[in-house]
Amino acid sequence: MCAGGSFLGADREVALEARFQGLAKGVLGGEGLAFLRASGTGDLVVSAFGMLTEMEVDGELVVDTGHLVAFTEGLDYSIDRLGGGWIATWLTGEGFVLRFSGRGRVLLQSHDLGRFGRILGPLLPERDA
Amino acid sequence: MRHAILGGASFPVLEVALGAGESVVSEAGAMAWMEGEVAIETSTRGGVFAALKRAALAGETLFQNTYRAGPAGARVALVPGQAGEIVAHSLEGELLLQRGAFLAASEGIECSSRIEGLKGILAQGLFVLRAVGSGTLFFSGYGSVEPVDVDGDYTIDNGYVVAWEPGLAYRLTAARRVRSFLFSDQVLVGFSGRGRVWVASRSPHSLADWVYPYRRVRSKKAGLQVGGDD
Repeated sequence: MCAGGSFLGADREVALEARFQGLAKGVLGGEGLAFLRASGTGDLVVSAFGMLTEMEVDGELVVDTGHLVAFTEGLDYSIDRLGGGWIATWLTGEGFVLRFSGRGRVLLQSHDLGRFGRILGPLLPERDA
Repeated sequence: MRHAILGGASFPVLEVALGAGESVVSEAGAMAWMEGEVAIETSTRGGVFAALKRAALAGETLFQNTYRAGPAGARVALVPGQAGEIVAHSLEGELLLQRGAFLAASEGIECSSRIEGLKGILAQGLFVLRAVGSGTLFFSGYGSVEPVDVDGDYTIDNGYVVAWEPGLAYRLTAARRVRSFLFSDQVLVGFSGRGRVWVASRSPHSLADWVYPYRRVRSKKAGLQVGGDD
C-alpha cells in the first residue's frame, strides 16, 4: 500500500488500485489519506520528501500521516489522534497518526511537505480567495 | 537518553532512544514516527497567554510536547519543518535561538522566549528562544549550519541567524535598501563582543522570493493563471 502522493511508477505487470479511507477517516485534518494498492510481481517506484527509511514492524509503530510513504499489506493500522481528544490533537500539533501493528515493513520519509508549506506560506503575500 | 542524527546534512532526522521513564521535549509537530510506549504531555512556554501572544506576533508554534517513555523504553524520530542540518549542542548554561531553530532538548533544559521587534516590522523582527540548563540541545537551520566565532563585530541578515551565545550583544537594524520587490526593508542583526554564532546557509525569505512569481494569480476576467509578474 502506497500513500497517494508517493507513487512514482510501476512495472506493467503491477496492478494498481486506488483505495480511499472514506470521508470520515481520510479527509479529517486535511492530511489526505488516499492509498494506492499495488499488487503483482515487478518494480514499484516511490519517491519521498527527504530521506527514505525502512522500518521493520514487529509490535507497534506510530507514524505521523505526513511521513508515510508505503507499507506492506498484512499490517494492521488504525488512524488515531495523539493525546486522545480533539483539543489535545490541536495542542500537540501532530494532527493525525497511523498506528501500525502486526508484522511487516513500513517505508517512511524524513520530511513532511505540508509542514514545509506552512513555514513558507506566511512568508508569501496574501492571494485572492 | 541516546541520540543519532540520520540521513546526512540535507534531510536529517533526529532519532532519540529513551530509557525507561526518560523524556525529551520537542517543538510541537516535530514527531515523525515513534516506537514503544510513549506518553505525550503538551505544555506552553511561559503560560497560555504568552504562548498566544507569541503565536499572534511571531508565528511561532504555540506548544512544546514532552515525550516520555514507558517502562520498556521507546524511540522517537523528530524532524524540523525545513530541510536542513541538525546540530546537537552540549549545553552548559545558556544559548539563544532564532525562531523556528529549536528542535528538541533533553531533560534539564528550560526554554523561555522573548520577542525583539523593530517598530513597524515586527513580523520581520527577531523572535528569540532562550534555552537554559545542562543537557543536549538540538537545533536546526535551513541548508547547512556553520559555527562562526565572533570577536568584535559581525552582521547577519536575520533570515540566516540560527543561534548564538549569550556573551554576544545584539542589535536589530533595518538596512536602508529595499531587499526585494516583495518584502519590506532587510533586517540585519549586528552582533558584538566575543562568542559563537551559528549561521544557516539558506534563508526561507529567499525561497519565498524565488517561489513568488510562480504562484497562480487570479485573473481579473476568470479563473486562475500560472505565473505572471503580478
